[in-house]
Amino acid sequence: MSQTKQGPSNDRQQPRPTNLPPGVIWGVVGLVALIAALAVFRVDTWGDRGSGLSPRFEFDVSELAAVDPALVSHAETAQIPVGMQTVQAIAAKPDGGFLVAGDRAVQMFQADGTMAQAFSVPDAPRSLAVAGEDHDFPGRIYVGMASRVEVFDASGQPIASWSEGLNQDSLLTSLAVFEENVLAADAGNRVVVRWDASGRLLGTIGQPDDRRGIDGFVIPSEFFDLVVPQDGILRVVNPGALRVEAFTLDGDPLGHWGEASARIEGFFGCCNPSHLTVLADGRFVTSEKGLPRIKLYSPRGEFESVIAATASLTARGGGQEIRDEHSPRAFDVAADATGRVLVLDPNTRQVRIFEPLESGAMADAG
Amino acid sequence: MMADTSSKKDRRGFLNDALRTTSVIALAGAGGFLAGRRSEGEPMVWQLDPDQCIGCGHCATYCVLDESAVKCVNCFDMCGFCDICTGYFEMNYLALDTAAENQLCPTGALVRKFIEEKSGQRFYEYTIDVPLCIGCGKCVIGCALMNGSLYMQVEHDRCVDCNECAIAVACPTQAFHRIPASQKEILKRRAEAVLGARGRRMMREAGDDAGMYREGAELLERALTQRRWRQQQRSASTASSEPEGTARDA
Repeated sequence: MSQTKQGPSNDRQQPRPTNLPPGVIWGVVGLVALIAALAVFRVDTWGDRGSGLSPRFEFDVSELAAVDPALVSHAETAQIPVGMQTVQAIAAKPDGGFLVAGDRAVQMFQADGTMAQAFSVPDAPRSLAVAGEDHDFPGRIYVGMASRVEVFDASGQPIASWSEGLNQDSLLTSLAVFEENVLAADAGNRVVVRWDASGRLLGTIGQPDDRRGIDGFVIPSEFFDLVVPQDGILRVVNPGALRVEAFTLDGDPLGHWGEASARIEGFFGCCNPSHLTVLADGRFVTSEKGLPRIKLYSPRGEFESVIAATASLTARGGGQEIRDEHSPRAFDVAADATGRVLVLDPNTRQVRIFEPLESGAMADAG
Repeated sequence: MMADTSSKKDRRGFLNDALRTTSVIALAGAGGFLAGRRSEGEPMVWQLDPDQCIGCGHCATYCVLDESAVKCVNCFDMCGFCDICTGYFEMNYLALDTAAENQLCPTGALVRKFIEEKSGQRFYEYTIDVPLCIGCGKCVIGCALMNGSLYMQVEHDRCVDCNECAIAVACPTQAFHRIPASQKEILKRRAEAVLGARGRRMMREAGDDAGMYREGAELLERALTQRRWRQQQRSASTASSEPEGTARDA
């Protein structure tokens, strides 16, 4: 019996596949290439299809920006363009006209919005005030720079430059004139500085003082506004405390109004209201930053109505743009003797005029 | 039989040639080494310019890491320490407390801590719980409604420094830049201004307090580094936008 050596058996070998036609092979290769190309194109390398995060990650301010139309008391009646790159401050003149400060200039407008005159200022202006008939020098124009006040006559001729009581930390964000007093809100030093009409320093208001019950101003950002109505009582926004505080011109505290709240009646966020003015009848107009809205309060500080809601102040009605260069800035406000509210829109560089709706119109709007 | 002297070199000639060759190789090597050292430069890292960031959320999902290397930071010099913080609370919050339903951050990465009560208001410090932050930017958008002290930065101890950063490619505003590793951060312009101002004030008021002076100087240097970087960015941008002839003429 012959023994055969066990080795790899040819019987177990699978038969070789028959040769496929070249067309089939190329077809398969093409299909694979096509699938690969589609896969590559489906990968969103450029982020065009968004982040892929769930709606839970979206920031929605629509609920906060929404305002009941029944609360809106004013309507926009005019938009007056200002020929400046940046606009900073607005002030009403006793004759119905108004002034706008921005760039390195001040422009004077008549009541109908016609620009009457302009004059240049030596530095970037940040605040503005016009002296009324009760002042020692009616018509005088005070322009606040970062750390000094430039004084001009009614025609824009320079008269003086004041810096007594100010220092390199000063940042003047608002000016007011009442009788012989000129007052400036110094956000850098967190005080109100008071001079007489000749520029002599009369004192400062608002330093923390336990004995007088003054907590001091909380100013987290460069917004710090003040106004002196006809009652002669200084009203200063304490923006970090989200309220308006009242002082005598000698610096004695008299009280405050305003509450921290996201509701329409209150002020919310870090520091609001950003701007403040007063109507001839003693009611206050506040302007808020963040979600811009302009509201009306009684002389006692009770919420009355909305002059301009977020949607009417910003085209987008929300707050999604976060870049400093593109985000909406705060709106300065002034009020003229006829009750018009002048809103300086820094985004469109316009003065937007809001006038009261007829009482019937307000009811209809509601 | 005549010796073939022409094909042979004497020992002196051989040594001369060897010396010459060695010298050339040494010179070339030294030159190459020096040239290499000179072109080596400082290592560069990815960083996000917060002034260009729009809080789109791509940082959370496009990073090659499971947990993004981009995180939120808070510049306390810009922060209002608000009670009603728009970066912390949902816009329709039920109460001003730390309950999850009131928090804006979907991962609860923002930590709120009471600091003081002043002028009738309560003030809070907000810090980031870094491991919980996924870089979605929701709080950044909320904070931008007010002071904008919250912003995004690449954490270099997490970033693997890809040659081509996937977030940078997907970033809709091209906010990602290569910066020197020693610079580490890109501050907001406003942060640069407030830090510089605080640094100058500290140096001015330090008197004999060497520690305070040093801290002020460090803050000022931090701000100046940012200013220099932004100037370089502007110069590079201007040079690239100018026509070739104009740039050469200039």
